[in-house]
Amino acid sequence: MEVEDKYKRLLIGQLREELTPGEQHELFAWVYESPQHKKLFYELKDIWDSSKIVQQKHNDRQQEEWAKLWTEIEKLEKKTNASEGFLSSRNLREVYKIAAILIVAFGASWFLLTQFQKDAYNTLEVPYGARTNITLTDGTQVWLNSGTTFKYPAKLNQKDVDVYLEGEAFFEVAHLKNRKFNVKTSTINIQVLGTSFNVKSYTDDDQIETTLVNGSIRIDGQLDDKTIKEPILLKPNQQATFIKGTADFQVTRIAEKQGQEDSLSTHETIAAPHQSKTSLTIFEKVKVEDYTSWKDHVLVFKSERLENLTRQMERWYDVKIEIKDESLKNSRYTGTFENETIEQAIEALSLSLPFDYKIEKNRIEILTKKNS
Amino acid sequence: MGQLAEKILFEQYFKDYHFMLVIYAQKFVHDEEVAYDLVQDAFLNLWRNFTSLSNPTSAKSYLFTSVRNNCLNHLSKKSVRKKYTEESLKQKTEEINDYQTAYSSLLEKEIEEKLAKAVNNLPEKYQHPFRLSRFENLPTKEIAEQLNLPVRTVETRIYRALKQIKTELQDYLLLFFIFRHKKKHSSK
Repeated sequence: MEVEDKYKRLLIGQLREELTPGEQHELFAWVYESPQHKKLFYELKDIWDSSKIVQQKHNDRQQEEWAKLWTEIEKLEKKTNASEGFLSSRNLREVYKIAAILIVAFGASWFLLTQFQKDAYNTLEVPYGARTNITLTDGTQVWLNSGTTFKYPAKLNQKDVDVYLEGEAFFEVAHLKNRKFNVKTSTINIQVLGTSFNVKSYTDDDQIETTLVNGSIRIDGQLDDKTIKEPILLKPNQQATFIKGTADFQVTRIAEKQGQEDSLSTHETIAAPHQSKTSLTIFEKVKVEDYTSWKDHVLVFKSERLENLTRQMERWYDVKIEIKDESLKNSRYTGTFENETIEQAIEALSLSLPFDYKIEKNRIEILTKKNS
Repeated sequence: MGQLAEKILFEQYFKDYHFMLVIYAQKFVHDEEVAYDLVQDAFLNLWRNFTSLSNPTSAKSYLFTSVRNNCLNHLSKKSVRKKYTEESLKQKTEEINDYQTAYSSLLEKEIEEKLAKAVNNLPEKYQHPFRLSRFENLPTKEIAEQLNLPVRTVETRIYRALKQIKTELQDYLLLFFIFRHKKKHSSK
């Protein structure tokens, strides 16, 4: 059933209780106009209402409610028992004892229950300027780069594991027989058997890169509304790069990805995000260290466009960088930052590109180089 | 059944259904604190009638029915009626009645895992606004500002999120009573 945009929006407004009485009137006129409309409204409302159950349960509140209920019940019991002259004070003490034990037992079982809840997910958010690594309970190691959100199950068992990533991470997945380990991003899904690889998928980047160090992985998913028809199998040292575009999906295979100036033509095809085609490029052989060195606190740029580079530096150093000169955005830089401070890094960049810049607290402006 | 056994079983029902029922009550009554109270009353009712309701299926359906009735009573109070618009009071009353007779909620079907999966499967651009709206309870305007999108777009994306979950859960969204009825018979 095709629903007019107006009613879609009114419907959401109603669920959020943001409608004026007039708007409500308009919505309900539509809802009750046909059984199909009413069914759709009820179904979407039920999904909206019920989805709350997905959120972490309010354990403290629940224990509190239980204690309240219990007190209430005891009062009730006492009354009925007293009126029936049934329970002596000695028996009553006994009941209280049981009650106390039950409350303690409830608390304990509650604790265990939440600890072992199989669908509980932990979320790790790495702020700009920071990096971290964690070891999951199955031995899988994950390095997380700045500005990354990573969701993983609190408990990993023999069953298939789904983790969720937004940002950049390097994985060393523990190999367990017959288990699937899936890394999901907003666009692509990566299915893994024991292996190590790097995924870079920031929502504010135009480009998604998956670089395989060893093992094998399978990639599927979709970019905007274009689905990857055939899953892509990557072999070690290969890299799959997706570029978000507007038109059809295009797949190319390129033998070597070198960051040097002599291969700029190759680079042109992958690094110009404003081209209209959504594309997937598979590089048959890349120097994987260039893409994974961040986990050892080294930033490597190989003929990187300044616009992409500054975005990475913003995350890495937790600063805001603005390029005031449009023509500078496409200039390219090759270099490595290891222990440099942001000031040293910007200075190095400004000499090689070249440009002028201003630093004010956490804000950096990149300006056209004045001829001196 | 001895008193101790009764209490242990009762406690188990509380653990199993309390959170679910609080969410269920909020389908019909928007104030969260009121929802907690109405659920509390439902459990008190269950306790009062417990011996006859110690069977899990009947206890569960008793609890859901009891919460619905409590919500209906609550909405019929004069002091409460003032807090809702005429339109939404009418709608809610009708919705409760529909759930009394014909429908059952996803909550009753205990498909929490599938629901969680459906939410996690949403593409980020729908999932993010949906989560902010539903779980963080941010007003649409604030989400629009935060994501730097027009309010219309945020609303449409939340709609799309619900629509996609609906597609994924279509099998469970068969809301009609007949469905439950059949199942009941076949299990006997």
